Amino acid sequence: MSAPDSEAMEAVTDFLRKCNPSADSVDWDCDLIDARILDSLTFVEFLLLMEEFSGGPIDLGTTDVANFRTLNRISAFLTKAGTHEQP
Amino acid sequence: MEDSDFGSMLARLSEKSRNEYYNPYTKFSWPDSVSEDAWWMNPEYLTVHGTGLVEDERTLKALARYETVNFFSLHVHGIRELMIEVAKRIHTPDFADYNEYLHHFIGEENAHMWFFAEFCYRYTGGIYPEAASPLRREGHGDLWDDVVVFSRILIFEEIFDYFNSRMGKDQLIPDILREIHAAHHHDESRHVAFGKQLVKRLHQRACAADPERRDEIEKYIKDYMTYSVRSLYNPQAFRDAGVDKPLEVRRKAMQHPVREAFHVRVMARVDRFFVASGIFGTPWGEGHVSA
Ligand SMILES: [Fe+2]
Ligand SMILES: [Fe+2]
Repeated sequence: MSAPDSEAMEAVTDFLRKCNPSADSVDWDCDLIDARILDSLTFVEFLLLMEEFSGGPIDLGTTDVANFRTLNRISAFLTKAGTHEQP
Repeated sequence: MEDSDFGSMLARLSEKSRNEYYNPYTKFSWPDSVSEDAWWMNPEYLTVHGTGLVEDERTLKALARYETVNFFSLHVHGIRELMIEVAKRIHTPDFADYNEYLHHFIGEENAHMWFFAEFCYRYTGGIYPEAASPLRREGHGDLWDDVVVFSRILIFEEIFDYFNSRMGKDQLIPDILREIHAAHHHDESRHVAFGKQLVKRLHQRACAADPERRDEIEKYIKDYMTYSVRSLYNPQAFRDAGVDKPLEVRRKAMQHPVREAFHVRVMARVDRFFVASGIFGTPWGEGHVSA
């Protein structure tokens, strides 16, 4: 993993490392579900982290799970949600 | 445990279930209301206990109400999912030895689901919805899935029993709550005794047929323990209790060292069982960095 670019991404990488230590070495384009870093058990908690840092509820009826499959997409999602501008 | 010992344990537990059978629908005398001035849960069992994150007594009392609803809701959703799995297996050849006991299990869990939900609907806005995962549950092959299902049940029951056995004696909480906790504790002591022996046997059977997956299963069961601990911290309960920045407070509470030590205590008995029966190479509590 390259250096996290915000408090949010740091929390994300911390969380993923606890799910699976191999998360430390994954590429930012690596599919986290295929790599078995995120799974059915950890995804529930992961979504809460996304809600906390994006500042609002996430409805999976309207938000595609694909937004959370790679670190790059997670970062893009949080940027779009405005997190990166917040102090 | 030898086959004959296991057989006699099954017979003994089934007989106990028969003798102690009760009508859940008439067992409790439900009061008209449960006072919101009372602690619905002893503050020492709140998820923020020992963290200093929430200090205001009104908020803590509200959290005690909503965390009671969360706790009961977890049983309703958790057991529904697990009852489906048990129902799939009863009267199939692999589970023929356990039919009689599994009937009691399903019947008793059905009763528990009813009284836990009934409390929530009578005195609060009802149960919380389940925190469903959008990802499909991983399969591990039939024999290992049997191990996973009954390990999940055991973990679930041990967590409940940690709280039920204590709250069932707690004079601080309203009578109806104490009675519900005590009734559940009473039934679950049988379930846990059965669950441990069954999980051991299923694990031995799966290891003999497909030893390769052993580590994968150890990781999965440990992840399920972590998942279960997290489920005690329901963000909606924090919101409903009026906690400021509910997601942040929830996350900080969950990661607090005092809480992590508590999680290890809640899990201690089942963790010891998994290690002693060779299902875990190392305890969950040891590698447990943060729930
Ligand atoms: Fe139960
Ligand atoms: Fe049970």
